[in-house]
Amino acid sequence: MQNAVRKAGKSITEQEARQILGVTEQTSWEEIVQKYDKLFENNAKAGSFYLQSKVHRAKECLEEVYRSKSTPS
Amino acid sequence: MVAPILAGVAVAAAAYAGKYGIEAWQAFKARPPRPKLRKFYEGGFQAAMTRREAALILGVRESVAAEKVKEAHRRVMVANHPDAGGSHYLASKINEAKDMMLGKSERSGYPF
Repeated sequence: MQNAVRKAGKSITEQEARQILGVTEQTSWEEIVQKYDKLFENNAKAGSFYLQSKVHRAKECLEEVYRSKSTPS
Repeated sequence: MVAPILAGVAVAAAAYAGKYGIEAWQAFKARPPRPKLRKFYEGGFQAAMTRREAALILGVRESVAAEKVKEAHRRVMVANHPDAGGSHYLASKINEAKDMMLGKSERSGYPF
């Protein structure tokens, strides 16, 4: 299942980021931001700061991915 | 002759200082308790869940009672329910966290 060799959450992977936000490789950036906003707000109100952080890091990671996609080198 | 007047003024000043001091302290205590200036935790979830991470996920202390764990689990799950816009991955992590917290504490609570 999960690659056990991966370091203990040192930096988030794109795959995990997508899982955290519940999005696929086909999901558009706008949809991702929508999911992020909802999850972030829900966790700010009733979740834990830890989960909020993970949601934030997931969005950060995908932001990088989508940014590099839209500006092809 | 002016000494009693000064003494009275000093007492009045102390009284007002005390009054506003107490009001300021109460307002400070009553402020919304969420410190948004905290830095977010780095990275994703750990490869194998630990008790520490489980406690963080549920927003409880590691030494908390089972009742509090269940309460926290319910609350956090509602915020991340897949039917309400949450992700299955997060929901499974939250469940895993609850199992870890309850499993460990049950074992330690056994009167051996």
